[in-house]
Amino acid sequence: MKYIKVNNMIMNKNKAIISVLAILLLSSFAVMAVRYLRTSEHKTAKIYQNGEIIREINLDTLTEPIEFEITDESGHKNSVRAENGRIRITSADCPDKICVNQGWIDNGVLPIVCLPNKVTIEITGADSDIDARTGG
Amino acid sequence: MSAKRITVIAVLTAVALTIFIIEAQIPPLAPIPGIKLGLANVVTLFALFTLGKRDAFIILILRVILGSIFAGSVVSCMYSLAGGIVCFILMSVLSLFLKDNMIWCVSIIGAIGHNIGQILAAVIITRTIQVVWYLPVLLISAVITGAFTGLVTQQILKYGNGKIKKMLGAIK
Repeated sequence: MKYIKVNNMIMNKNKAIISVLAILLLSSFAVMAVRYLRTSEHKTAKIYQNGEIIREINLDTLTEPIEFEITDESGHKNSVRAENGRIRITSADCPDKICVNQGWIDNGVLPIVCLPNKVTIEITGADSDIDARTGG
Repeated sequence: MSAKRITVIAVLTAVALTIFIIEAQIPPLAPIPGIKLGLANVVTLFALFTLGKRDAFIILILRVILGSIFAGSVVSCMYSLAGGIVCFILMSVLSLFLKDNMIWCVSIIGAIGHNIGQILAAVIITRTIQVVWYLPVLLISAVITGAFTGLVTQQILKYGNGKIKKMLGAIK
């Protein structure tokens, strides 16, 4: 009898952990879906350096591609290219080149982050005003 | 600390370091930073379930620092340490009440902890809160890669348990 009770407790612990994992997985998918849907129109690219917005580009009204360079105080460079509806980092002098390899982003699911040069590019949707205020 | 324990820690650290460096040479699985298999965690898990918390922690810290010296930088060492420590805390708490057949769960939670630690470090270092949006993607990948490394550890312990216990018996 005692053995069955202990066994049940172990089973319940396992069930609890697997349910927590399932909830985490589902909420991850939900967050990604919401961020994808929110930026399906009215795309604005926000470029951050050291946590501050240095440039905002309305990606919906772009007719010609634009290209520009971001340089930080210690001389590190990232080249950015924006087209209608999408944006990417074309070259960077950081060692890992993860931001360049990430290629184009055209939705808000994942921002482009260059950790060594502290540059972040994020696409936000129409209700980005609230987002910007609460996000500080 | 007996000579035998020092030797076992040194050998396991060498194994972990080798796995870590070989894995660093493999091109990334996805163009998203932070997604990797994390095979070196097999050694940490193995040590946690055979040697105990203290030795597993020593092996983890040695592997992270040596790994950054051989295949990384000072900055990557900070990310790895942050991830490794959060991962270790979660795994050692879970290992208290989860048995050997649930190592894959311990491993998944550890992988999730690793990603949370790394993202916290990235938020602090870059002062950019947007990095947090990587968490959902990394969580999904952590569940898959964590289950894989956990199952590898589980099978090693299952099929080699008699021999491993005999080998490590004199240490404890």
